[in-house]
Parts: sequence; C-alpha cells; structure tokens
Amino acid sequence: MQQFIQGFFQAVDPRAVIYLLLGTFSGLVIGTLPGLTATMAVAILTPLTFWLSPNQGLAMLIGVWNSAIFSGGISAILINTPGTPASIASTFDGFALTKKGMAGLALGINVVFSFIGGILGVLALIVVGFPLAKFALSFGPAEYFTLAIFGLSTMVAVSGKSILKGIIAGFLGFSISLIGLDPIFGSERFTFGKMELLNGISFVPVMIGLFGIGEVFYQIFAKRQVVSTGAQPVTQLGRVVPTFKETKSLTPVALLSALIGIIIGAIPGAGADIAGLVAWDQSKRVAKKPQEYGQGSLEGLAASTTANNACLGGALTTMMALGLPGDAVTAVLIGAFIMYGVQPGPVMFRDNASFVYTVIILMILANVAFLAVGFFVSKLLTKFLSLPQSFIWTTIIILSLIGSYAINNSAFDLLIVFISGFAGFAFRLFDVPLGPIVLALILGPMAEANMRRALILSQGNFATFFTRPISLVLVILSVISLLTSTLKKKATNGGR
Amino acid sequence: MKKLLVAFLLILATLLLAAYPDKPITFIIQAAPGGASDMTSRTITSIAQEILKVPITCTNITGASGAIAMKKLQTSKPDGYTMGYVPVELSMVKALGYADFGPQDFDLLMRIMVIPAAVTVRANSQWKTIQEFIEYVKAHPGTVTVGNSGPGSIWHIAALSFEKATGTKLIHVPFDGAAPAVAALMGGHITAVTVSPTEVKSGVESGQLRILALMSDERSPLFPDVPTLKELGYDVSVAAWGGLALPKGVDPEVYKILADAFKKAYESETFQKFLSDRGMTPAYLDGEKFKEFAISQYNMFMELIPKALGK
Amino acid sequence: MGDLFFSLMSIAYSIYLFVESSKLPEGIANMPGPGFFPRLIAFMVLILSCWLLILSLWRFSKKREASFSQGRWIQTISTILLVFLYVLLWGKGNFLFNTFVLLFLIQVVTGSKWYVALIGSATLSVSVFLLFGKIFHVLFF
Repeated sequence: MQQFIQGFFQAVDPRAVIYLLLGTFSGLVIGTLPGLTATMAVAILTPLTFWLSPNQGLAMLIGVWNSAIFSGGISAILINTPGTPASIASTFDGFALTKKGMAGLALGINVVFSFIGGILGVLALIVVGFPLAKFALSFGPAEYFTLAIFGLSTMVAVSGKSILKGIIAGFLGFSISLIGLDPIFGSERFTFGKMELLNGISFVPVMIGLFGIGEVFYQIFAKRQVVSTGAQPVTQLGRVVPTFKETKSLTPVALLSALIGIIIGAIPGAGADIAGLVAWDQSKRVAKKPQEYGQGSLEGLAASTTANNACLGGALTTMMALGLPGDAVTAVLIGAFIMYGVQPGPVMFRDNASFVYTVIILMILANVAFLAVGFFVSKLLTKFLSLPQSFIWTTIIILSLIGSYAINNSAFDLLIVFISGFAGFAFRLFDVPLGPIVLALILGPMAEANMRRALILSQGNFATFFTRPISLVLVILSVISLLTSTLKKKATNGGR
Repeated sequence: MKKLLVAFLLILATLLLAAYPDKPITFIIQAAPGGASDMTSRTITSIAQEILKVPITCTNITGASGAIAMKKLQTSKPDGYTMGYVPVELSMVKALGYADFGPQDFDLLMRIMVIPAAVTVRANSQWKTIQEFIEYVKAHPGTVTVGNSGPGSIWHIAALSFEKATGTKLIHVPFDGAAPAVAALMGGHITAVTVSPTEVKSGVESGQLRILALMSDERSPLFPDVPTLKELGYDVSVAAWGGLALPKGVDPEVYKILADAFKKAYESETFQKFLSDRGMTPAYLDGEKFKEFAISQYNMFMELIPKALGK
Repeated sequence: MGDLFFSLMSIAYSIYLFVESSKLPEGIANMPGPGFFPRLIAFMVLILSCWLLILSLWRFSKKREASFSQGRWIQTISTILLVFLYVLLWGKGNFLFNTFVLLFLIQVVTGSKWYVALIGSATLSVSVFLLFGKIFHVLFF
C-alpha cells in the first residue's frame, strides 16, 4: 500500500503532470502528421527525458505514446491517410463518415473509444498482467504463422465489392513485401542490385502513398469533394460529442475490440496496426448490419479505434512482466526504463513496485489528458475541411511526401510514396480494394518468415501447425472466418 | 611594434582556427530510433553538444545493415560538420556484399564500446556450465536450436564461430532482431541464443535465463562470474562494437577538437552510467588504434563470412 | 472495363514475377527456400487474374460500364506529373522554392485563383519547412 501511495504521488506530481500534457500535445502533432509515427516520437524524445527526473520523463513519454496512437485516427478520418500505421482500419469507416458529412461525429467517436480502449488496456495490465504475459510467451514460430494466416483471412472482409479482386490485390501486396533480403537465408530477392532495396520497401511510405496521395489524385480526377454537402446537412460537421445513446449502443463492439487489442498487443511482434484490422473484421462478423461496415459505420470505427489504443496496455503488460518488447514503442521504452534505473521484467514488481504504480497511473492520466484535449482539437481540425478544396489537396500531398521522407531522410522513400500514390489512384480507378494490399504487406512477411522458421524447428514436419493447441485453434478460426465471410458476402452481393 | 603585430596575428590565427565549430553538426545514425546504436549516439551527442557549444542534430538513416547511412557519411563533405556512428557492420558490409567500402575509407574518431556475444540458455535447463552444454551438443549433433538476430548478422556469425571453435553442429534459427529470439528462448521454442548480454540482462536478473559463456577476450565487468570461451581453451571471440567516424580527409585541427570533445563526453559520468546500465563494455580506443582494430576485424570477416554463408 | 485492364496488368506482372523468382532457389519439399513464396504468389496471381479476365470478358459483352472519360484527365495527369517532377528534382535547387512552386502549380491547376494559390502555397511551404526542418530536424537541401 505504501508503495502504491508513493507511486501515486510520483505520478500526480504537478511537474510530472505538466510534462504529461506537453507529451500529449507533441503526440497530437506527431500522430496527426502522416509519416511521423509513435515509435519515432518516443525514440526521439527518450534521450531528452534523461535530463528530467524519472517520473517526469516517463510522464512525457507515456503522454506522447497514448496521444500519438489516438491522433493517428484524426488524419485517417479527415484525409483518409493513417497518421500512424495503427489507424489503417480507421480509414475504412472514418473517411466514409467524413464523405457523408459526419466528420465531427467520427472524430468524437475516435476520442471516446480511444479513451475506452486505452483504459481497458490498462485494466488488463492491472488485473491479468502475469497470466497474459505468460500466454504471450507461448507464441512460437508456428503460432505466429497461424496468427498471420488468421489475420490474412480477414482479406475477404476488407475486399469491398469483389472478393476476387480483393484476393488478387492481397497477393500483389504480398509480392511487394518479398522485396529485400530473404528472412531465413539472407539471399537477395528482387533487389536489382540496389542498396536501398536490401531491407525491403518500407511499409509507411507505401501506406501513405496508397491512402493519402492516391486518394487526392482520385479526388481530383473524380471532381469529388471531400465533404459531399448534398447528402447530409452541414451542421453535422460541427457535432463532435457522440450522444449517450450512441456510445451505449457501441459498447459491446468496444468490449470485443478491446479484448482483441489487448491480446494482440501482448504478443511480441504484433502491434496496433494488426489489432485494428483484426478487431474491425471480427466485429463485422458479429454485427447486426455488417453491410454498413466500410460505408461509414459508427460501429466499425469504434472497433478499430478501441482496439489500437487497447493494444498499448497489452504491449506494456508484456514489457513489464517479461522485459520483452510487446511492440516497437515498448522496445524503445525498455531502453528508457533502464536509463531510469529500472530493469523491466518480473523483478520490477518486487524491486520497484512504486515505479510500476507510477506507470499505471500515468497511463490512466494520459488517457484522461487526450480525452480532455481531444474534443477541442477535433472540433478545431474539422475547420480544415472548410478550406478551399485545392488547398486541402496540396496539404495532403506535401505532408504525405515530406512525412515519408522524414522517416529515413531517404529520397528513395519519396519515389516509393509517389509510385504507391500512382498505384493507389489506378487501383481506385479499377475499383480494386486497398485493404487487402496493406493487410498482406503487414502480415505476409510474418507468415513467410515464421512458416519457414517453424519448419526449421520441426525439422520439416508440417504437423507442427496442427498439433500445437494455440496453432490449431487459430487454423480452425481462420477456416471459419474464411467460410463465413465468403458466404455472407455471396449472400449480400447476390452471388457476385 | 613588431611584437605587437606578431601578437595580433597570433590572436587572429587562434580566433580563425577556434571558429570551428560555429554551426550545427549533423550526426548520422545507421539504425532505427530506439535501438542500441541510436541510444548510444543520442546520449553521447547530447553530452558532446554541451562541450562543443553547438547543437548536434541526430538523423536516422536505415537500411542494408547500416550500409546506406555509412555510404552517405563516406560521401559527405569532410568539413567536420557531418559525422556518424559506425557499428561492427562497418567491417562486415563488404563481406556480405551490401556495399563496397570498409573502415579504411573513413577517418575513425574513437571506439566507444564492445558487446560480446553471450551463449544463453533457460535457467531451468539441464546445463549449468558451458562445458556441459558443449558436451551435450557434441553428443546430439544437429538437434540443438540456436536463435540469432537475422541471417548474416553479427550474432549469426557468433553462433557459426561457436560451431567452428567447438567442433559442433547446431541448427541456426534466424529471427527478425535479437528481442524476438530472446522471446522464443523464454517461451521454450528454441534451446539457446547467441545475442548480446544487453538483450538477455532482464531475463538473467529475474532468474529465467542463464548466460553460460561470453565470446570475449576478457571477462566482462558486468558479469564477472561468467567465463569466456577463450579461458576454456576455445579460440573464439565475437563481439559487436560501436564507434564514431568522419568522412575521410578531415582537417587535423578539426579532428582534434572533435576527438577531445567526444572523449570528454565519453568519460562523463552520465555516459559511463548509460553504458553499464545497458550492459555494454566501455572500450575506448583512440582513432589510430580504432582504425587498426576495425581493419583487423574487416580482414577477419572477409575471410569468415563468405565461407559461413556460402556467398 | 476496369476489371479487364486490371486482370491484364496482373497477368503480365505475375509472368514477370515468375521469371524473376525462377532465379531463386526453391528449397526442398518440406523446407521452402527463398524462391518458394515468390513462385507460389506468382502462380496464385496468374490463376486468379485469368479467372477475373474471363469474368470481365463475359460481363463486358453483356453490359457497358461507365467509361473513364467522365473524369478530369488533364488536371489529374498534370498533378501526377508535377509531383513526379518534384520527386525527381529532390536535392536540386532550394527546398523552399521547389515546394512552393509545386504547391502553387497544383493549386492553380486544380482550380484556385492565382492570388489564393499564392497565399496558400506560401503559407503551406513555409510551415512545412519550419515544422519538419527546424523542429523535427529533417535533412532538407
């Protein structure tokens, strides 16, 4: 108890709260800008926090992390470009809502459900921390492979109108993820002798190109305005705060998505991007009106925004209980903890229990902080949409270009973002869905590397995927998921 | 009068020379934000900029095991306003076929640290000492799985060198970085890892993992009880290291200013604490000796890697 | 129409993928090598796109889809070319100037009045320069 009180007061120390707010604000800016990711933000700020006392430094990092994941959803909703990869799934329904003239409400849902997800994630850390971490450790190469397959089975659901085109697009995405050094032998694949291609094509520029620049090119082409003022009264733009009834009706979806987010977050190597996509797909499966998903469903948006913030609690669980990174940001945080003199891992709960409480309370405060400023910022940002159309287009273009360049200071990435933008335009022209492409880009490498790794471990025995319990469950789930979504789609599309 | 003129000229000359540095220095980091290289670079530069009185801005350029960043550094103007971090891969990329340069193409400033490979198993496994482990592997060739951080990585080379020195046969399992390999070890999916002590430190302290041996010349001050393979009679020493470098052809005056400033930063209490917290062995070498060392490593990898990877 | 184009393009791509991946070792039956997945993917793309091609030809004869001619081709192509040029000229000239010109031209092409575009692109390029170049220390030229 004394430890708790000590930890509590470390967290609510006024200076710590100021740094938390500072972090929240920086996270908002960094998360909203496409290209600048939460990982980058935390990594760049970490050495700066060494000059602060641990609780203040920690407050800043946790503030940045939580608000960057939340605010990635803002650009996903407003300009169809995920601010961070965690918000890919939020583009599906978020941007559809913006097109319907409901940008304000979509942003409000993003604030509320990011908060709910974040809090549920922290609760999981408090309540089931150790068992959850143990469960995450049982994931070996075989389980990672079947998890990737389960994620890929989502492809049908994110395919939009035509399953066939969706699956082709998925394989195209997969083929692009093959570029670079082979994960097991290190042989060069499709590198054309270019040094820049050895590590493969970076995912973020491709994502920004497909969603951001591709969308702008297509809007210019199709004379389409971001907000079709005809369909809905413009006053809808202004309403940001969802009603109690709306929030209540979305709660079941949020609970399911939070659960998915927490589990995926806890598994090392699977992060918020995968969590958002899987949660979106699974909630679609149980939804009463699945046909609305992707057309501006509040439920779909709530699912993806809840899951990606719930992921943080899961990732933090693995990091604190095992000392292993649960995702890319926690990998950086481990370094920060060590510098503060705390070694993440089971010993932390014994030797630095008050520090554990500080972390937990700061996580809760960080969620409260972005809940508080989120509505205000969201309301302010909807004004962006009322600027002249061509100004909006150029803003998206230049932010996408510079954001992609900023990751690596690489002119090559600029070329990648341009090519992906062109491809994104062409795919929209041909009515080819983009969801499967990014899905395969994220999960393809995970599937290939882990399948081959698992076969090395099992000495070439394929039975390993069916004899290990978790792996078997995932295989069965993938088959069910594929069958049901294919049949449902057939039914709704009239056999197409 | 004449004396005055000489004095004046002298003052002018010192003023002109002391003019370096008068604008921000760009520091190229060859790895993504958050890793060991990145944190080392950001910590030492944040101290050095206080000494040099100009800001040092860190820039991450990733890809091709750091070859892209090092190429960029090599081709930058040698005016002292661009410098960078160079890891062990400086001596490896040519052998791996990723790039066509080696340590001889840079003005090396100093070596900062070394991290030896650590043969690590689960604490609840049957092996208490490295001898027991080697005997077991010898008795069961081709069944013991050892994780590393990726094909052609320094920790992969470590496992290969271990095989060669002990005359054993292992199954190598490459992971995407060292952390996933350690996770797989903790979860019981592989038998051992040969990665840095930094990565396994938390597991060792919490009693989940055990370091059997280090692949260094001398025992590490951080793990004084862990034997080295050398002292047990196996001639193998594999370590990652890191240092600072400039493009070739930097003015000696400028070089000296930087070398002094960074040496001071290196010796500072903050930085020494950083190194020991992260499980890295402080291993300062001045530019001259560092160059000698890096070139000897380069020659070793040029011979070892093509044989090991069949390239 | 779109389906036809798309299927033809992916068929061509899959054949290219086949040729390239045939240079990579496939591995043995239960230990796939570097070439296994590329070949598998090329094969899947080929089969599925052929299927799509047949379907689209079938549908093509039955009904005409809305043609592409309704779009604003000139504006779109000019924007795409401008962005391409900007990427090609990266590192040459001056960052602020290049960015300003790109933004100005796109705004004019997509229908802004020139003075609105002037103000808009000047504000935008300077803010990008300050935000990324000065705060995030991105390397410009």
